[in-house]
Amino acid sequence: MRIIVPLKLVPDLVEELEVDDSGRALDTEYVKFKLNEFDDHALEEALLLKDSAGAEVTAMAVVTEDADKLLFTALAKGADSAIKLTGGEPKDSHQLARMFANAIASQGFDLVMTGVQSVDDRDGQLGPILATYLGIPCISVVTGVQISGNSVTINKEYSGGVMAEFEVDTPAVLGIQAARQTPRYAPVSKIRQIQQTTSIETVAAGDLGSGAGSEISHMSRPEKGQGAKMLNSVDELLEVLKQVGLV
Amino acid sequence: MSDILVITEHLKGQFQDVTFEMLGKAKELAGVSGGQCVALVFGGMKEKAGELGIADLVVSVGGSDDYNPEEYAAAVQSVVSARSPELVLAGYTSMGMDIGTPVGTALDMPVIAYCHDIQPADGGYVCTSRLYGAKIDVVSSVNRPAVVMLLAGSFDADAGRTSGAPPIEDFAAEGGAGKVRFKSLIEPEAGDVDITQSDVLVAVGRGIGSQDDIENWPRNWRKPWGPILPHHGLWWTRAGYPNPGRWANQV
Repeated sequence: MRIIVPLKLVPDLVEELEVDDSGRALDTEYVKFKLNEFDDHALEEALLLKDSAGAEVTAMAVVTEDADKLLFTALAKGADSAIKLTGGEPKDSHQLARMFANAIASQGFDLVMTGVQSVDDRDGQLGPILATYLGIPCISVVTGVQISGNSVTINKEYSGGVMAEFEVDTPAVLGIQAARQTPRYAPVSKIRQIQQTTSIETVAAGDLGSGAGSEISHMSRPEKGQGAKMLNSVDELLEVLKQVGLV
Repeated sequence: MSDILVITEHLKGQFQDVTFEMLGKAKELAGVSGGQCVALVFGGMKEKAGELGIADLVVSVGGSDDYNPEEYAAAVQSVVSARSPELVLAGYTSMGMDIGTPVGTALDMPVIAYCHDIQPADGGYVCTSRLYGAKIDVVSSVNRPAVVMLLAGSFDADAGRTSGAPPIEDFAAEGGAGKVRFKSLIEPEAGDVDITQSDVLVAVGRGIGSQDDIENWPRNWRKPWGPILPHHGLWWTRAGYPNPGRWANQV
């Protein structure tokens, strides 16, 4: 079974985010980017399937300043191959999905495992858009995957801790919420070793399509609420609860 | 048409709160657009259409009572194709994600996710999405039929919770390709607590000192509250978020 894992960089939310002068985009000059945490879980779940069922895992990313580091890290973690998409600068989830779909369709695959969402999915999540472009089913919020022949058995989370089990024929796209274990760590020494011994395949992006079909008219920080008061002891908490009549 | 179509959600035979949030908002928007507030229901949920009294029309696509992403999305797509609503409202939820985005993409309709406010403007709609970990609000303008996915909790569910007898229209919808098959529902472990059923939650962190400090609280102080969530024994999902279905230490 061949699994393709699209990887995406997103702004590191530890950083303070600013809107640029246009008022319609983030000011990215000083923003640090990191791997979408849900994509990290998608990669981990794919690697677990490699460990347990011999799946072949390919990591894929759009060319950016940090794409090589991202892909070499995926290889160091255990991915079998890596593909870098060139020749396009996607502006939204639809264009990003179109880039991945163009490349994935030419690769041959059984599963696409991607993060269930990312912090900038204004026009929808990558997985369902990608599945629509590829003409295959998609299930989101997946927390466990098992391979059984030409299908996979997955767990999907609902609210309130309820989950459902589904059987899905491949090929399919899975939006991974959480891998069965914490994403593994790749030591820097191993990443450097991989850089010297392994190469990344390059694939042209192809047509990006027309995109989201909606325009951003304004971006701003949310209006602040009344703030939070930090309490330092149980006694303080009890005092607050007494004041609101709960004890 | 200027209708506002709401994709209802149900679980274990009950409409989910987000359904009523969307219906309340849809009714308000339909009042401006001059169209109808239309609720789309699945499986046998048309039997509970009386809970959707705020809707001007309930469209029932039948099919399985158990949610199936492929089947439900195909059904919604066929209804949207046939009825051409001005706006489709879906939850930005586990179920809504599988429906809203693929339907919008397949029908070449703009999709707006993470939406927590939507207002009519200049013949179209202005949607506000809470992105980047709720650090930035992004306002999008759409001037043609669109799919908008609403964050649960954005609107008052009570505003859409009205009993009545809306007309019901059966619709022969597409059923999907049968590549996704529901197997079973998995309930949370028996010892867990559903925090959504509690009126008051008290979350405690390191400041509490130790779990003994919780146990030592007089029980009559704890009684009116829901679960107390101690830092010891607190279950976290593998994604690093607390799992509402897996709290320990119910009081």
